[in-house]
Amino acid sequence: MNIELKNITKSFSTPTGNVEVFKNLNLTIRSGEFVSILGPNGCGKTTLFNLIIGLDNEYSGEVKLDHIADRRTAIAYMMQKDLLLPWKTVYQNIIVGIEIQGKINSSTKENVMQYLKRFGISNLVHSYPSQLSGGERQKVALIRTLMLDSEIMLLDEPFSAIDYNTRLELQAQIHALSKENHKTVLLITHDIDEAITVSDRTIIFNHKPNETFKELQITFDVEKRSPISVKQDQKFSKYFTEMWQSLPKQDEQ
Amino acid sequence: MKRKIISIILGLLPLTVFLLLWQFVISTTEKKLFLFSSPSKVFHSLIENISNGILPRDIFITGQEAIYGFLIGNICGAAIGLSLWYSKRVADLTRPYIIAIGAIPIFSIAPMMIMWFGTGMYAKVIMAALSTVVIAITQSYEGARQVDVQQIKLFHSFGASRTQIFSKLIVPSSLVWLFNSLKLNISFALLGAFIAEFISAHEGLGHRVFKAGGTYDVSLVLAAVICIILLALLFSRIIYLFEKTLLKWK
Repeated sequence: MNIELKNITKSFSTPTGNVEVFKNLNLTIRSGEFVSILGPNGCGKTTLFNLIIGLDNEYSGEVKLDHIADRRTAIAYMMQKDLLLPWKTVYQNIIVGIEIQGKINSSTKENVMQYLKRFGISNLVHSYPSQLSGGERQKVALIRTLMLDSEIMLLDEPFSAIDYNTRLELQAQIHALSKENHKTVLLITHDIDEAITVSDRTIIFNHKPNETFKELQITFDVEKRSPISVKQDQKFSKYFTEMWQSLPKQDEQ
Repeated sequence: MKRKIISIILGLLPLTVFLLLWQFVISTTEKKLFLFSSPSKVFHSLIENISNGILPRDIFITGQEAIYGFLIGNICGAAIGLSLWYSKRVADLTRPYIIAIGAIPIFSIAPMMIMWFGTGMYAKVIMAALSTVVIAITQSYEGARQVDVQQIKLFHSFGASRTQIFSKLIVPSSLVWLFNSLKLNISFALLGAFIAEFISAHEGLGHRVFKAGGTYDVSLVLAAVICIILLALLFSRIIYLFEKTLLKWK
């Protein structure tokens, strides 16, 4: 399923006047593609997600998703904070989204257990969020997103607040899962390493208003892409340098 | 264990010292005894009025009125407060009225309640309910208002309807605030029922205090006050156990 943004113009009214975030922005994300979005704070990355999922409808232009009747059930959104409900157990938190969408069925429990095993937290199924570490909480939030089984996943800095080891583990998992299940993934990140590790393409926004953007195709000649294998590839440092040079610096604002 | 015993002893120490001082200072003259009674006389009055069934009956009546009023006030208050989440405009419009009702001294409307609902149980229950409803409204609305906007956004991203957001997110999130309101309202419900009984009643702890005060029976006044305190402690304990069961994730 392609995502097409055509001539998007979006602005916010603030006490000091109108602030334009996007100006005639055109962007296409191809089905099954993993795209990372980078850019300075306040450049409109999260706004872009809100437009795609339909949480913000005050814009001009067109957000086109092929063959989609209900945009919200076709897109899974994971935010920076895990947003687990403290009164629900890990299992109950994982199924909260599909429960709302009326997608609970006989295989739900088995699917949840498979994901929990895959992420190495099956022993925590009956725990409450207050009993989990930051990394474990984020894993639960990721499983909750995956359980929605949406064709498109929007990930807004999901790994930024967790420890380095867990982050590498989750990067490997999310990349593998997206390819196994042919998901279209958009990831907002500030981490160039992370963007190179998981993406097929990176998009770099400038300071607002964004009319155009820089992009970079990422390919590696490795059999199984993982945070370790890509770092050993010679192309890694080339991509890193290119992206670093493309990123707008604070004093350019 | 040893630490627990020490902390219990330390906790009871000020009360023991107070009771001993009271007993020995007051017992010196009959006049002081008449005006202030003494711990031994209060205890004696307590035992005597429990044995003859007067205080158990009063405790039952006041407790019953307070519980009914407490339940009505809190259920109505929580329902109103939580449903204000649906419309910020309505919440803003009703806020001055809620503040105004909250500012009314409950004692001042007690005579009207007696006039409208008689000297029976209804007036007392309504007084207890009115004493609790405003706190229940404000606490539950505050609880609903404090729900993380990101969490609401997440529920929207799931495609949740407003009713689903309300029932699956707003209400459970507000439970902590609702329990705070329940804890605060125990004393207010008892106070409401007590005031109504004090003004006009045939039975109950408020009536007992009024009647004992009229006959200068300070020991019985204080015995009834102890009963009120014990009722409040009992209700607090029940709420605490209820909270522990419902909010076990805390």
